[in-house]
Amino acid sequence: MSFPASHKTVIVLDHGAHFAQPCHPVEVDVQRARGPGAYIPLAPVSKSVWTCVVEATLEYCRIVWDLFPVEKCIRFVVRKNPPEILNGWKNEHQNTASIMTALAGVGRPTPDRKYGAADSAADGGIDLALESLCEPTEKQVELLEAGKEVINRGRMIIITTIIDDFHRKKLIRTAQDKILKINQETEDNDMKLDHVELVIIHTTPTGMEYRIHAEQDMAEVISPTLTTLFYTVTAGPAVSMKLLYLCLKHYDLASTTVTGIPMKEEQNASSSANYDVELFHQAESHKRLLGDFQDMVLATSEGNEYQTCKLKWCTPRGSSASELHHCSAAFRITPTEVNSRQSSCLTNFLLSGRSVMLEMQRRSSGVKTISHMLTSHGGEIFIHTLSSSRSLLEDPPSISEGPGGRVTDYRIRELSDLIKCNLLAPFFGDPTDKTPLDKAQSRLTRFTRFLPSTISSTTLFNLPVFEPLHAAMLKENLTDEDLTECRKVIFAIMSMEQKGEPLPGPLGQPVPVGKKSKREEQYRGLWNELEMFATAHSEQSPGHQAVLECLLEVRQKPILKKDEKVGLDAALRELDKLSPMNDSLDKADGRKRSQSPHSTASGHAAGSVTGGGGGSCGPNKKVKLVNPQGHTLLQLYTARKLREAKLMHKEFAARQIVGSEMKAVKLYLKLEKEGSVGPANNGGQ
Amino acid sequence: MPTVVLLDSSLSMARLAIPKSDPNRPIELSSTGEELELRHLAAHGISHLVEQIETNCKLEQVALLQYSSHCELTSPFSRDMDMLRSKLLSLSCQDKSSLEVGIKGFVGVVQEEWGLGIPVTLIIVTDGGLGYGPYSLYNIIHANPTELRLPIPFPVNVSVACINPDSEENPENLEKIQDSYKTLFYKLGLTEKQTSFHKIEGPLSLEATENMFAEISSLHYNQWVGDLVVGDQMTSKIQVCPPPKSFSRALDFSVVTRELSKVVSVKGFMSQADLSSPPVFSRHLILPHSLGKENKDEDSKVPNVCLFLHGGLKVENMCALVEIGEDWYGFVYPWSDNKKKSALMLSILEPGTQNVPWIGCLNRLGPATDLNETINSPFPIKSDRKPSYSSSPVVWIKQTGIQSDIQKVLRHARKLPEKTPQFYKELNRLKRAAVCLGFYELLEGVAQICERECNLLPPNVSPDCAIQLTHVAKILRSGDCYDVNHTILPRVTNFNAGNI
Repeated sequence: MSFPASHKTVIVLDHGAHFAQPCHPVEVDVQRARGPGAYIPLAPVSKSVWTCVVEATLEYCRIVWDLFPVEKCIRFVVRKNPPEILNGWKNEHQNTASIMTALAGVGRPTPDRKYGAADSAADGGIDLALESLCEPTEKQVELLEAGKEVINRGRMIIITTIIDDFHRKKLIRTAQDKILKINQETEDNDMKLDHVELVIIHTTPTGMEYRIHAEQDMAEVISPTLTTLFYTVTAGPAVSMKLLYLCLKHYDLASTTVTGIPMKEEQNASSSANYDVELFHQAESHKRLLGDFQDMVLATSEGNEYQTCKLKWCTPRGSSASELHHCSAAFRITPTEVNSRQSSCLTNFLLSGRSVMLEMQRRSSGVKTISHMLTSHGGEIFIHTLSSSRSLLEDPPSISEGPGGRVTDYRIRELSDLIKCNLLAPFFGDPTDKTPLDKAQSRLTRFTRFLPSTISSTTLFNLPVFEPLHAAMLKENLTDEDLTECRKVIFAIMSMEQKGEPLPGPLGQPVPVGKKSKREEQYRGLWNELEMFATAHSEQSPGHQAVLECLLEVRQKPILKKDEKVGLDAALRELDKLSPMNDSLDKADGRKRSQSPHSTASGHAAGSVTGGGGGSCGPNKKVKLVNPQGHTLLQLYTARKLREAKLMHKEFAARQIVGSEMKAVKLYLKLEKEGSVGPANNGGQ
Repeated sequence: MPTVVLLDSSLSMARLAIPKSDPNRPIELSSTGEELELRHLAAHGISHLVEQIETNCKLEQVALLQYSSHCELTSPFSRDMDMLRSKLLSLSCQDKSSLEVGIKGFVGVVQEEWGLGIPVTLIIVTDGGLGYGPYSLYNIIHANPTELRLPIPFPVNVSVACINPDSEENPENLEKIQDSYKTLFYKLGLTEKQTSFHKIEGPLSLEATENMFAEISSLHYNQWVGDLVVGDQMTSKIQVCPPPKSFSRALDFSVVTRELSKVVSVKGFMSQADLSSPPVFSRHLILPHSLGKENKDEDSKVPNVCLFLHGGLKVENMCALVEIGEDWYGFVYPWSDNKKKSALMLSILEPGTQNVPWIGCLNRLGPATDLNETINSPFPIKSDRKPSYSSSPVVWIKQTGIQSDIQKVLRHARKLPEKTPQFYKELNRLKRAAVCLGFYELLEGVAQICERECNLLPPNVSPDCAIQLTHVAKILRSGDCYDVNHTILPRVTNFNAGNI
């Protein structure tokens, strides 16, 4: 846990007379391409120190907020009288538009209002900035609420004009005193300032610094809670450059220049020229690739204090975006010059959905490899670090070389349909619902519970007549029409069986007629498959359950309903069916099915059929089945009563019947062990 | 991770394993029928190790280096273990033991082949001789290495297999040897976790050597076997290569550590295009677990869930989102290095549910059928942030920025009254920015430009141009302008009345 200082930054701007000075002339008059050429050019206008400083800090913020969606917060404090704070730590305050509006409200400093080194307004600004560092950010609040450790580090960037070294030291002392004061005054449960990095940027239009004796860009440790760095810069564009350098340093960013991007000229669409575009992103993007920057081709960025890494544009071929690339990191980017023609050409290209590979040349070996990919996702542009060195996974053995590799009839098409039915999407349902992903998984479970993997292992799925039932059962809920459709399918299969129609074999071919016993076996398998399929889906909805019930009914199998009170009749009927169920898997299966009300008279079974009632009031033969074990009337009666009672309430644990025995719980085991008491109580029968 | 076996081929490796003076022991012979020397034990042990690697880590690349006063790459990195075994038969002994030469050779071979990013396993097989003079182990630990630059620039795990009897009569004290290697590890910049020292238990023999190497292989070459689960019925035992590692990393505000579950459980599916190359922590090959070579033929004819899934995903370029630990996800997808061979891969994301912004929170994904069907893919998730490059911010740090913004205003000015809305939109953008930046001088500058533009207008433009430009120049000079909420409105004229 690093708790970086970059999590919280306060930028403190001077609003004194020094900042009202003009410092940088800007040529605003533009050359006209057409029209009368002769006119007197206008004099350049000049930016004040304030304008240059504001521009530079806004650019600093633009880069930070483009690259980091959260957790890098910046606040602004203006040192005027009284000092003013422009925004808060909240996410909605962290954007340049709101800062700009607030700055407009502050207005620019006026040259006549002067304050010296001892001005209280200046100190007030520092106090306010340090106090604001003490306020928790959203992230810190989240951590504190979760009871986690928080180390409150922050950075304060003061942009000011310093008169001499005494003034500088006083500034540092003011900050130090305030930090101590804050830490003394805060209660135990309030946040303290664990560490502050004070960055002082001294700027004047003349760039004078001879009375200041401080090393540039050197961390000076003032106390365990305060470190300071000092920078001198001439007011003007140099302020922006310095802040750019600091931005890269503070947030560990790297600069990458994409070289050789072909762009068409507006005037001459037939030819294209090559341009370079510089981007910023987290330095990690390069570090993940090589460990460090040593092996990259680096160049000094034009007029800037940092280095940029040159990567070559590779004109995209084909649809490389839809392929999955092995990528070890992806970071947001932002162009260095956001409004330049070349930058917007590149960003628009990427935002339109295309992506481009970048090629890196290693400095040591000169070897060129594809190392990065630029692409956009949902309106933001990312740089992906691709793996470019050798990997253990190169040339992996084909999956068909291992187990299952020589099976050639996987039901691939069907599985891919199933996959398409189980795609994931963002969940827009009840926001308090914590388990959308589990919901997706249980759907997948239902779909795969009965899924033969090969064509030769199933008859059911090769049967065209099954398709409507299959399609219906996959739905979340069944309509009445669906239910009718499913029943039709079941009856259609029954009638096929009775007509003795051949079933498709393992390869979809009809099994030759004549092998009657084999066909019977095949139908039995088919019914079993259908039952497994229907059972797999039966819990989905009452409709699904109804399909299973319909199937079980025609197959004369007991319907096991959960959570439903079984009446006496039903209980008796169940007892009745006990025997048929037991031998339902034997050869008699086919015969019994033909007893169902829907069957037409079929050869060998016709004699035994006396009527169709689902089997509850069967022929003489069945009377025996009511009492196969020859129980007495009392035993039967007790059994029934017990069964009924069981449905009413949950049996007391000590009285539960396991198997056929009453498992009475023994009490006073300890006493029994000691032998002082006779046989244990029988649990209060 | 690739393996380098660094074998000591100094002359001392040619010593007999069983001293002649011990008449009580039966004489063991090497595979070539010679009397057993230390080098034969080494070769035997290495071949045992290689066998373990072959069965447990199919993808492992192994190289064999021999060192004496010079270092020789006997067998380059390869998965062909038979080739390596054949080299073991013809090991010979050279001169002195210069471990530094060996390590230098190792660093060179690895850097050339794998770069600096891939962790490597180094197995040093030696009799433990410290050597003499420069380049010797003795020299490294008592002084500084002669040429080698420390620490080793890539991640490495080292195991030392010391073939030397651990007895009190042994003049080369094994404890002393072990201490020397400890010092070496320290100098190489390795932690205790990354290193191990192994010695032979009891008197030297083929069997004891085998045991020592088995110890080493159980340290580095364990199979990772788990279950791939789709729903609750479609399951398959799988082997994952290279074995996935648990995750531990200190982030800005927390330390994240995760243990890998042994079940790779499919949650649902996505198209590969939607997944769109997210950053991954590690990447692995999924192999259907096979019971051994004997059953290979039968195995290949039994349908396997891995192959089924691979086929289903491949036809539609899909991938499966899998859960592999607490709040830890990955995805399984078919992947082919070349056109012919295709494999099933597992890419593991970093732990957490919010690592891929364009997919959104992973455990907030649900069945796509819950969405009322749309033709468009629900991915990527649109970012609710508007980055600067798509919101045309005002950046005037460079002169060209200001100039092009002024030019835009003027371009519209010449096409008034048709472009009245565009003209005022650009003008107000410029004005607002100037006020925010406290750049009031620019307002005056633009006013002057507008005035001059009036005088330079060609005769064929609408009279509205001149009227609006004069109007604008006047407002830009008024105090109202400094209010950020003030916008300049077009002046209603006969020419534009219908257009505003």
